[in-house]
Amino acid sequence: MKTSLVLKEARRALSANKVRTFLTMLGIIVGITSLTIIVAVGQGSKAQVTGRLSKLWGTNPIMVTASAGGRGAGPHMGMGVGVGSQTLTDEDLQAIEKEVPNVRKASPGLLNSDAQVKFRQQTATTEVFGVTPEFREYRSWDVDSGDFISEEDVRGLARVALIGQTVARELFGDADPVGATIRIDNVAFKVKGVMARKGASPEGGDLDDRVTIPISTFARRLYNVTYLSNIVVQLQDVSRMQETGAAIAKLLRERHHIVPPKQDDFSVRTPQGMVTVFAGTTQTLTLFLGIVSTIALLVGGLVIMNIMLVSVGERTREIGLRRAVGARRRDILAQFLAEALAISVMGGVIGVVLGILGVWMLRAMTQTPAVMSWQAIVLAAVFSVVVGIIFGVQPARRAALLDPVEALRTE
Amino acid sequence: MMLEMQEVTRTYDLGGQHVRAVNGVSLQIGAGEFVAIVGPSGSGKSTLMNLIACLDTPTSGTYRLDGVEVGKLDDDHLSQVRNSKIGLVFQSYNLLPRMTALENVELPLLYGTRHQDGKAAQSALEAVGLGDRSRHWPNQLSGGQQQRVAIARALINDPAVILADEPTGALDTRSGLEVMDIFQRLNREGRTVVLVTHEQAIAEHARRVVNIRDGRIVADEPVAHPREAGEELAKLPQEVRD
Repeated sequence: MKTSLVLKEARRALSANKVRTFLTMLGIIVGITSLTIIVAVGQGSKAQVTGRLSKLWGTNPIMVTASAGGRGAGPHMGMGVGVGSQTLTDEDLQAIEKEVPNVRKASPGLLNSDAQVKFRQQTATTEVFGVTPEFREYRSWDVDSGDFISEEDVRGLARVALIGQTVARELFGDADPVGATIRIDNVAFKVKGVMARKGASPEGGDLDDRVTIPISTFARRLYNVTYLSNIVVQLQDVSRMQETGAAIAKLLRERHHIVPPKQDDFSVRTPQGMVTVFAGTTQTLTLFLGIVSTIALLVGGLVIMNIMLVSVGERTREIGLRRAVGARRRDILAQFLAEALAISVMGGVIGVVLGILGVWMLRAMTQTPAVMSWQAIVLAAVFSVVVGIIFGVQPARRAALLDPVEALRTE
Repeated sequence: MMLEMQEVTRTYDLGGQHVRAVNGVSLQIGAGEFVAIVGPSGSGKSTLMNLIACLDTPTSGTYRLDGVEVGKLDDDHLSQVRNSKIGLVFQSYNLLPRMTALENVELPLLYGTRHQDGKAAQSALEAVGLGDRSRHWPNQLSGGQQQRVAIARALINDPAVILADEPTGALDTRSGLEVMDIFQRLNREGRTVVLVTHEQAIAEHARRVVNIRDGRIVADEPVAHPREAGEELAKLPQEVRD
């Protein structure tokens, strides 16, 4: 029996009792609607987290930090200059730029996480960062007032500093800090500018509690160090971030002669790694809602199964007649399976439409991030077909296995 | 022979009790015959009809239909035989209510190899005098008309045997005679017709009557002077025709 004929028969049977067909679909509609919304909300919040992270991290760079272990000696992890290992060098930076494919630029960074900063009688304990002018670009961090560190500042070991909003408030209150002279660990610096507000870091620290100075000044004038605290690597193709990160780690291991079981004296972090951590919370929510929609789909499937069983009972005589005029068991099976599938797929289509509407309403009326995607629609399609088959098989089998003589005798 | 049964038996197990519904029946029906199988209820004629219709298979014995040994076929092949070699007509018509007359006639084509183009079904309807009712739904037709649609459905695949089970049982006298008239005409055109009934008067339209009692054939005789349904219709008092 041809597929087109099977579908025609299914349509005839389903349109004969439209109200019942619709009620049968209801569970699937609810399940697929919620499924669509869940996927959209899940993807929306992931995009939101990624967006927030890229604001914090700038244009998706890889961060190589000197230290052992996965979390690194980043801000707030240790105190003082060079608390981590002191093995990360300018030569490493050169090697990364030259030898690792897909690297656009590598920038050095230095950090003292326990510095005293003074302005007149006011003292603050904060972090001091030694950076190059491109810091502003790769962290996409604007200057609120004044100017950022220039190439000349770096070349001339200039004693200029940019202060974060928190430091500015602690030392200057409401006064304008630009042009004032502050002392960083007892060395005089001129405040060249104030950085824009950045807020909390992914780890929960205050990103505005910092002072930024030229890296050369940091290394040769202030603290006299020859190593680097971190290297920020910008990429040509961001989609190959994981691969490039691995290549950097491999190169550094070679250069630092690290063979297992010796632990790495550096860590390579990518924003995507952070996305996973961040997404954890929304994933819990998505999982919970996913269970809800799974239950709805299960109930919807059971409703289909029940109604199909009732339908088989009502149409026993029709089944007998069809068998008598030559329908094989598999023809009857196909007919009833097609009906169950048609119900669930139609329910799925309605569910997706309602889901899109729901996503639209969520976005219009609440702050919930939700993004409609083809993945949600594919998932809905797959689920409705699977539900139709799983719960349609049993009634269809019952219909197919009816004895034609018995079926014809039924009133 | 069109239809040949040798020592056919069909037994049922009813609660441990062995029931022989058909008990050693040997029957031969040639092409172009018109045979009535007659017996009271419980005589085994329904079981025999199911066996002839290939809806059921013998417990023992052999049954050949149009050269095919039916007893050895699996379910798929039995379905094919029903589709291509048997035209079934039931007492209760068994039309599908959500299909038009034409679609009902076409139903067996769904499960066969023949092309479905509507023309065969239309000419089958014309053969039973309902060419102008093809778009009607079953509930818009009288009982007699519904039964004629069912006959058209039985004819659609050009079967070896037309098998009718009490085809006049639910009809008034006139409609019943009209149906019998169609069977007689089909038989004159060369069709093999087997009629199962408990009414002697209906059976006498056939040219041969097989009597069955307790699962056995008790008489098998030709009818000397078959009734002519056409003549009987002419003698009926005039009625307002629909």
